[in-house]
Amino acid sequence: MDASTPDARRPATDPGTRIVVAMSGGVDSSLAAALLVEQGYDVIGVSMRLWEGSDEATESGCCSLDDFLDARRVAEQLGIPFYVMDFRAAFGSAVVDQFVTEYRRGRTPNPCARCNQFVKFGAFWDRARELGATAIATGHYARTTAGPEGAELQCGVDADKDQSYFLFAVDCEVLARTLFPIGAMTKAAVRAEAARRGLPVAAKPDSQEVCFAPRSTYAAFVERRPSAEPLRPGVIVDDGGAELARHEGVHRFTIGQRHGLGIGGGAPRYVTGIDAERGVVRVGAAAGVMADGLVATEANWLAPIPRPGTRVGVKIRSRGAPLPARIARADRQSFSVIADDGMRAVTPGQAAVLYDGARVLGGGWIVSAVGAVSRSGDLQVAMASAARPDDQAS
Amino acid sequence: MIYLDHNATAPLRREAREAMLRHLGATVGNASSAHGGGRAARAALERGRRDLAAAVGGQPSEVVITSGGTESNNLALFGSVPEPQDAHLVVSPIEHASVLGPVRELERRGAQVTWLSVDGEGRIRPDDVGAALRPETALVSIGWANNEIGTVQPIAGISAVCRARGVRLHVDAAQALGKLPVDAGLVDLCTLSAHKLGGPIGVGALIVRRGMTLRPLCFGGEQERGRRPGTENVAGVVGFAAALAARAASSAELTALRERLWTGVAAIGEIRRYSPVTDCLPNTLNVGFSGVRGEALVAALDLEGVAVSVGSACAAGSAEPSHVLRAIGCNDAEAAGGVRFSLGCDTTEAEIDAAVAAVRRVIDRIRTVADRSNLEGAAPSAPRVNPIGIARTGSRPTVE
Repeated sequence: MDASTPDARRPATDPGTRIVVAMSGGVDSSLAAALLVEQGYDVIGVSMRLWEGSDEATESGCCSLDDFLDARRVAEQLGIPFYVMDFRAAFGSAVVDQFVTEYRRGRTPNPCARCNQFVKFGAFWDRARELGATAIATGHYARTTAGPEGAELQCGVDADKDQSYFLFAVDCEVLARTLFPIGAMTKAAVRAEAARRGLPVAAKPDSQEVCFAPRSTYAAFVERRPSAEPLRPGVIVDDGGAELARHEGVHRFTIGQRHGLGIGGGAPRYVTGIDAERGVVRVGAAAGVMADGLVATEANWLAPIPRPGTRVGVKIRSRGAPLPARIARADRQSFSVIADDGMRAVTPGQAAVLYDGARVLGGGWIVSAVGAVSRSGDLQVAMASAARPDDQAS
Repeated sequence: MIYLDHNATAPLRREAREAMLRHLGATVGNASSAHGGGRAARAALERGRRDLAAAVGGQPSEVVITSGGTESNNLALFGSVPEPQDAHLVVSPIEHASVLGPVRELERRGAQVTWLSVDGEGRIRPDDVGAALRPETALVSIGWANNEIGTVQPIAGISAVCRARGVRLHVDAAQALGKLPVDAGLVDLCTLSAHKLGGPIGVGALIVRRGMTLRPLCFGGEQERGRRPGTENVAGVVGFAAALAARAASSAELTALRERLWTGVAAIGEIRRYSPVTDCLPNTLNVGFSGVRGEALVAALDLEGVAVSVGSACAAGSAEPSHVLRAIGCNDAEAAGGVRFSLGCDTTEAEIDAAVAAVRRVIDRIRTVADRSNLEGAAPSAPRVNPIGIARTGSRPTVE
């Protein structure tokens, strides 16, 4: 079936090329490895030990001993060498510590995108080259194609599973050496092909959570993990600044949050702002979480830097279609973008990813909303403020 | 494949395999049964026991057959300290996990533990053992030879100190047996393992000097004088004894091969030798290449057809920084960088030379790889500007 064939135009991946596949023990990466073996590559499986899960009775998330055993079993069935390698140090500092610091600063981190940037397409690429590989592969739902300026990142074909949002920060040099063997398949097709090959993980449930902390335990995790950043308890206030309640820390809130505010009764209220320094969480009506656009920093470009006025799609969370928008300002480090119909819950710390159709142009980490609150204000004002060069929040 | 991982397990010796197959083909019976088959099994068992005892200078009645080194160590430690509350233990910090685990458990149950210090080669001074002893010391536990770096301890001197003070001495000789003369008469409890010297996996022994009381771990049978109940693994004992009797490589031969290996890999450069040059297992060479993770070197060499190991691994199979290397003064990066080559009686000069060539190829490659997440993993560096990644202390990416 042609959907299983990696793009034939890709460089440096002739049959026989040594490719290291990141194998989690799930169906996606297992089928990715199987397809590469069938295509004649010299495939090596590596499971990344990211976290302590494998030493404990952690059955959920990744890095459990069972996941490694699943990956090992698939590798054995495929007849490929398989190793478990230790990435705990890189993962702990680049992903977990940052996760905790961000929450404690009143921001909402995106650990999966950080992990891709620094671990799966960072340290893992280094390990792969140590093994003599010239390319890596993962089971992500995304595609790469060869373009005039190098590799281009495209959405996965399965819109429900597309993971391109989490891949915006991957170094373009590494992307050029990356294969996504299942990116042109749907999840259903992946499961069917895995079953057809008798892979033992064909029916294994998908992982749903951040691998090191189930969502319901984020707050406790952030409180427990040692950090140089203090916890910041304080007050919840309304639009007028009146105190509504006290809270145990800004890390327990995210922009747009409605539940768990401890201020029941009356019209629905949403978190509209977090001032971590003062420990203040501001809540208000739904309109208060609308903004014109956003400012993002630490940009990573996978295409030429777009000019002001360029029409783009922008995603500020993994779910949903990109919002129609245009670039207000962009340079190597940062950009501002204004959505045609505004944005809901622009959340500092999350990724803002820019699309041209299915292609990922690049992205950055959200620092602030633009035109928040004053949705009725003049767009020109918003554009002007978005174009200010002082993007850095602090 | 060039097999240089004999300290993990040695290939089953032909002599052991043949003796086991002969026994398994000819004998039907439980060694405790009164009939002819049972008597034959019992005879084979006791023959093996006599051979084992003779090989280490002990008496047959002192040999307790176990499932291997781990069980022997557990039996020695838990069996010697039935009442851990306030009991005192003196232990070497570079022991195998099957000693450290029971010691930590005894500590949890109330025992006091004095961890001995080791020098830069992992060696313990008998005087330090003497200084650590207390009136309530229940046991001293020290490995005869270290599994990771090969250091051989001055057991005669340690024995003299313990004997003079009347303190029980347990020695784990799993790695020493077959590579060094092991005189169990020097110690009170001596752990042996079959598969480290080419016997089968799943059988070992604890030599318990006459007069030593030992509380069993298991109850429910009179086998091994009640010290280790359960139907005896007769074929295992037969294989163990046969492997011990097989001609082993001489210490001089192994040492010459090991030094050939050292000379070869040392020429690659930026290497540190963790194994001592003298008073070391003749087959063992543990080294670290600067800037190279042990698990990366092990995997890369596996792909080149050379089997070696890092010191210790987690349940999933990835490397852990070696507690042995830490104990001899290595930092975290160095402790994650040690790789152990352990030779066997079938290792040839040609294999050593081929292994050296493979190590050179792999080290050259690894050293060209930019290392974005430095060995300490303290922080990922900023996105690469220089693809060779000279800056190992790259700054933490910031978001503020």
